[in-house]
Amino acid sequence: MTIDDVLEKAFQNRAFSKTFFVVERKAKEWLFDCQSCGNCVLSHTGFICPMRCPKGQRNGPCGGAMDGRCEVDKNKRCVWDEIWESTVRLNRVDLLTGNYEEPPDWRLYGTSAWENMVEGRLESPSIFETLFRKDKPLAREAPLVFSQILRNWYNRIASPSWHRYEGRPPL
Amino acid sequence: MKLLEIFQSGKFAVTSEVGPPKGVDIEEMLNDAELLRGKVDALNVTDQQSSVMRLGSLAVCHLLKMRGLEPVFQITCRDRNRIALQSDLLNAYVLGIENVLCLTGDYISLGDHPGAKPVFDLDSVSLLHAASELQQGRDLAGQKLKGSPSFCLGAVVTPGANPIEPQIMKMEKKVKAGAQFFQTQAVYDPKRFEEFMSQVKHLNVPVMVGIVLLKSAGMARFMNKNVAGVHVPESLIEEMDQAESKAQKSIEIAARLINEMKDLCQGVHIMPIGWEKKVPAVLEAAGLVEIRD
Repeated sequence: MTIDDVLEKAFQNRAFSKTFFVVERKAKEWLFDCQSCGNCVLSHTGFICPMRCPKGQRNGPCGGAMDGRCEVDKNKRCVWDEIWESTVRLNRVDLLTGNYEEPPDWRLYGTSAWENMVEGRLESPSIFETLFRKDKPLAREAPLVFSQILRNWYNRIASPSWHRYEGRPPL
Repeated sequence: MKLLEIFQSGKFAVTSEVGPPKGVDIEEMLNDAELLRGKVDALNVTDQQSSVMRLGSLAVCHLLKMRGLEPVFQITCRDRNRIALQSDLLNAYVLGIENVLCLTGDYISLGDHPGAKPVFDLDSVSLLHAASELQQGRDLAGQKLKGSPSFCLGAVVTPGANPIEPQIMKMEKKVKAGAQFFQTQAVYDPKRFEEFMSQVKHLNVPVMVGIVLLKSAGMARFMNKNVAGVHVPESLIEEMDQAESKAQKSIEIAARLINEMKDLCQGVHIMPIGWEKKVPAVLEAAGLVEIRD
């Protein structure tokens, strides 16, 4: 029995799936400002949630960002600026360039991405693939990934004065 | 006629822009378009530019087509979900519109209805993907179409973006999703543009350099401060500042930029932003009218 099968069975238990989702949702909200879109691509995008972008851009930056600041709210950093920096630090830019991200399935909004992935509701099982199965599994670099997630988190709570930490000029 | 044919014939493509009015008085817009008849290969029709509610792009494209002018239908993901976007692509095709420029679109709060609901169901890459799927005879959901359209698909890129790598990454995705030509954000720095073109050489896709007519030194400074990816060099600002006739100088600068970058790219896209009537003079000064005849 693989980990998939075990999880698939476990998710059929309503008590388990409910508890799992609450934990997943709260943890991801705290760490990534997760929007619970249910179509998680965090592992592709350097553990920065692209759904935080006002335009929800999942395939790349819009071209409206100036000096790394979002066009819509200049006090915020462009999400794609963060994504690029984070993936470069993780040395996994290939995850961005190689993947065409499908538009999200809005039926899954407000559900657990892990459950959707295990139950096969997502077309690309992105989290598993990138974390465990590919030739360059991210899980093998767990310390790097973990420290990057914390770094991203710190940069974000430091916002809107993030530029102080990035050596950029103040607004 | 598809813009692709122009690129394939090796001709230097020229496009400009028509901005639909806020209201239904279309006479001035059509007159402006008429001034460019025979001088440009196609005219972009903006889709509610800057998120300001106005006459739509599809209707104006149809009007241009009926008058024998070649439109480029700009379509943005800001106001429509994937059902409406795909439907509008089909609408465009049955109205004879063959050139489509796929954009994500400006954000809603920058326009005149800041409280409206932003859609952004698709992004520019998935919109291109949807259009390519339609051409293959199926929609995004995989359902078969009764007759499939055929477009020349365009997209945009900002050569002056900083950092440039994510822009190029997205450009690669757009090409993969079916983009056949690119129009760029305004470029004032030929050196920077040359660098950009060498970075995207491997994509082997026609690029039309964007030219925005400078109206004054103040406008140049404003763009430097507020428009992403646009940098007007100090020397050009000074030139504008000292010029007696701003309009004459503006035309001269635009023509010079076109000539400096002509050999680097496959076409030029002129965005007049209110100075539509000056575009023929720019084309003449840049020597692009003779080429056309």
